Amino acid sequence: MLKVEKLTKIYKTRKKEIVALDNINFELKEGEHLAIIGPNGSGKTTLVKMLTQLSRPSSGRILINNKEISDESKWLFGLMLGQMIIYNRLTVKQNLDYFASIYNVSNKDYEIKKILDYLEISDKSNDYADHLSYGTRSKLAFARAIIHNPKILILDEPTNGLDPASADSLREVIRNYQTVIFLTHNLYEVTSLADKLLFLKKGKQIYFGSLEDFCKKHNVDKNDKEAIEKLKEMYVL
Amino acid sequence: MYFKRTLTISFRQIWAITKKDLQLDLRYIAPLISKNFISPIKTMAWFLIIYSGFFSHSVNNFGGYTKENYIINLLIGSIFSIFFNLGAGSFPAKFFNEKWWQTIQGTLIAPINSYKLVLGISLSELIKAILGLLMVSAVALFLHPIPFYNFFIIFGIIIYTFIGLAAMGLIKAAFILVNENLNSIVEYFFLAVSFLSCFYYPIESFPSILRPIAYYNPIYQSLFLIRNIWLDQPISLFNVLYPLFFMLLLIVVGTSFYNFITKRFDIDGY
Repeated sequence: MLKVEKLTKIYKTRKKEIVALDNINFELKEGEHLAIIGPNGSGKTTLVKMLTQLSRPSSGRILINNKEISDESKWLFGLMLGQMIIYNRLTVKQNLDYFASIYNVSNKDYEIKKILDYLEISDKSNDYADHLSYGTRSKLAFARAIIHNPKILILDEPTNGLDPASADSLREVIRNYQTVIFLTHNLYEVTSLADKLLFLKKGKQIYFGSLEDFCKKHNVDKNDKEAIEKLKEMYVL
Repeated sequence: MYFKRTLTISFRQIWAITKKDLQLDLRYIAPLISKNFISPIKTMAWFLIIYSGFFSHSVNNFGGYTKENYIINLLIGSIFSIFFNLGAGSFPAKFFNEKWWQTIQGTLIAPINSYKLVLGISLSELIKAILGLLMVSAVALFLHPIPFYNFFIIFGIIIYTFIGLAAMGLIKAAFILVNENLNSIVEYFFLAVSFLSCFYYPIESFPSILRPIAYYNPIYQSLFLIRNIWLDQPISLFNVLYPLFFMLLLIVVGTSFYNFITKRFDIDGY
């Protein structure tokens, strides 16, 4: 479904060139969940920005269903970034109504109500976004990302700032979602949600493969704490 | 069938942009009133004082402005000034805000093209300006009545000029996304265009070297057309076609430039 080939991003300043991503290659099939992990500054967000066309690659290709990404591919993605892309001057409902209309969601009032009910924030639907707590804003950002039922959902630390119960319910939504790419520092989320794993460090691809292969290679069970410990080891290598 | 579906989706998206923009501005209504009503009236009042002084001290004619018509000239200029500022200034102001609010990515990742953006924002600005336009037009009509069809033609000229100006604003907005230094340079260009558009003074007030530049400024030509229709003065085919051609050109150039910039460069400084 999604194929990334030799993706490289170089930021040029007057004095130097910064290689943010260097020759990244991976593939994701429909229905798979990919966790992108790595230390701060490893290029995770840059990669996500290129997938969603917020940033242009210096070289390499991104293919969706064997076609290079274009404006048409924008219909396929749902994105939740660190910056939540929420209009603080609008109410929860107005925010969702706008994005639902942009993505031509049919029966949008019903869809908005369904999502708000599911995320347990329907009582906030007429509140202005700037009056919401961080956790509720995160839920709204998540609702915005999935309002058009995108084929590929991209999430940047989706459970960051959520209380444990809310985080669990969001993880459940992610688990049941069709195709997901998520960035996280929470290694428990990696072992519980991911099928595939992409580890980046200083812009380089250190590991890409299935979580199962990773666990087999290190002779650990993915549900055991040891799997998390092995993932942690990659950070310090 | 495909065409109908695409058209329906486009209309929905354009209306969504308009509605969102109205909702954003309507949360705080005082700045909206100040921008759309107070500012142009304030500028017009300065010129009103100057001209009334002129014409009460033995000046009979100043580049076609006379004791009898200077108020109507100022009112028409004021209408046009409102639309110039809203048209050319709306995108830059909105993109600046969206960078600060960190919502600009929502526009960039969404499946909406620059034409939809221009139409959506133009429609929203027109709705916001309509009360101001009606208010100033009512005074102008009271002082110098014109047939309804002439007013209708004038309104049409204002709309296409406004959409062209919004597309021009999109060029500036593109610079705001990728390099705010360049935006400041473009600001001076906009200032020069505004200066050479003669909203509140006749072209004859310029030194002779600047007059041809002002004359071929399409914004001036649009204003000239409106003034002459309103005041029942002669107009030529050039006065009609020249600004129309330029406004269409601005729409194509503005949207293409925006597409080129946003596809080639990353957003900077947010």
